[in-house]
Amino acid sequence: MRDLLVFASMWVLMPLALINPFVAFLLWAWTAAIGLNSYMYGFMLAVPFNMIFAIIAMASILLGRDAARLKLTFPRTSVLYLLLALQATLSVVFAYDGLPRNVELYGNLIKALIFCFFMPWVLTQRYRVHAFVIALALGSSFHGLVEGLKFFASGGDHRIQGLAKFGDNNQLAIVIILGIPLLIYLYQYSAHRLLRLVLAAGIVLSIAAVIATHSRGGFVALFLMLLTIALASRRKWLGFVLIAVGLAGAVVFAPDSWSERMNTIKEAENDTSFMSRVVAWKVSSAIALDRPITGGGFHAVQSPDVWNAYRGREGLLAFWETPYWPETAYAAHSVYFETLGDMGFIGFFIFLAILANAFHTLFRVRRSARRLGEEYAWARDLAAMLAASMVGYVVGAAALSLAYLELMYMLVMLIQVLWLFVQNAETASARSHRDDAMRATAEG
Amino acid sequence: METGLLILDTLMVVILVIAVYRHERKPSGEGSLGLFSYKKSRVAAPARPERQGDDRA
Repeated sequence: MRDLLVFASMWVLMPLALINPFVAFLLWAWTAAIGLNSYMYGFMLAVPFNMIFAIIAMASILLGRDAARLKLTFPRTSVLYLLLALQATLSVVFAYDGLPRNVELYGNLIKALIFCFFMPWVLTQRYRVHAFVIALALGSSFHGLVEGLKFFASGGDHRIQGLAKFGDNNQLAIVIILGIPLLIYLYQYSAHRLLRLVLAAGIVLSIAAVIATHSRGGFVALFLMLLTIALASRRKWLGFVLIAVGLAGAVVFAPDSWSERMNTIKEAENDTSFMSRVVAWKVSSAIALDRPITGGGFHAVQSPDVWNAYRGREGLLAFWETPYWPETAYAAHSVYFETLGDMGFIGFFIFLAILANAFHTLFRVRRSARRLGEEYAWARDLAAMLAASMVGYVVGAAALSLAYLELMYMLVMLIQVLWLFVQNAETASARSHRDDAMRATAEG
Repeated sequence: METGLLILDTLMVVILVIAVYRHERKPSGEGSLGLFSYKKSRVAAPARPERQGDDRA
């Protein structure tokens, strides 16, 4: 049924994508965020939607068919992404032998970065940024909507297991958290009341979905993400009250299994799952110490051969006692140790630079947009929401393997795009003031 | 339920791309994207006509 309906929709989407490069670009973003194939069961399962729209968009944009004149700019984030791509290439080539996902993860990362290179070239007007945020929200928030509805329909018993495209319940929780601020931004700026109602429902369902994951890291990330939004809000106290009410509601209405799981947060030192992560961090850092330039390759720590070779090595965490070492290989379970083990210290520092640059740029966007006044309030508000998403990511993904999450790279580049908007507006404003002053001097 | 939501999501994407396509062919005012129209600011309604070219230039 759903295969037939998606097939039918392609009869509209495909011609429009072929005619209009920006439409193809939006569909490239949407198919990347939703992971359409994860929801297909029939004859559409094998259709590479994302690749088809990517090829159409890239070809038509590079051939100059886009309405916006192609200006090949490489802002700071693009340069950092280029460095990451080069480092990733070095790592994939010099990886340990027999890593099962080495080439696959490298390919996914490069595809994500290629998409991001196009963003500053295509998102040149405000309506395009708005349409892009909608496409991204329709894709990334879909998972929250589905799982949130299942959570309510089951009276709170539904427990999310994860999604093939993103990983387990913890990883899906972070993906949903990254999408919530986009929904809030769209709620603030959408003109149609009906759409605002749908978006409000989407926000509530997404929060419910994060609870349904039973992810402790997800819950902490959700709390900090909401706190960031409240702090940036014009009505801070209302935000704090809503968070407190939501927290109380979660404790009262969530199932007992959820409360029991959350109570284990303070017992992390005695938690087998958490201590296994510390062991994985030790192995990842030991790999980086042995191979500081190239790292071990993508997800080297998950290879049984590599795991056994590094068994008992303390790496950079010798101060942290671990009572036992798991027999089987364990995922890195932290974006920081994941990049450290996979791409060595160079890859790790490039990754940190990308995150640091994102927060620095956010700060500059908000400051500049405030100077520009109400006309650029949208940029300031979108920057506040992107800051919340990034806080959710840096906290939540600190204990998860999500360093190559496409959505995160898109959001970071969106921050860069916002900076280009406000920077150019400030330059134009300064030029206008200077011209006025010169004219006044000449007349005087 | 999942199928219904997937159809709804896909339908919204179809509406979005048609609105974008129409807007790119013939801009009908800033923020005018049909169902997905946006407010110029959080307090104001869409007003002035759309400019052509790059907003950032």
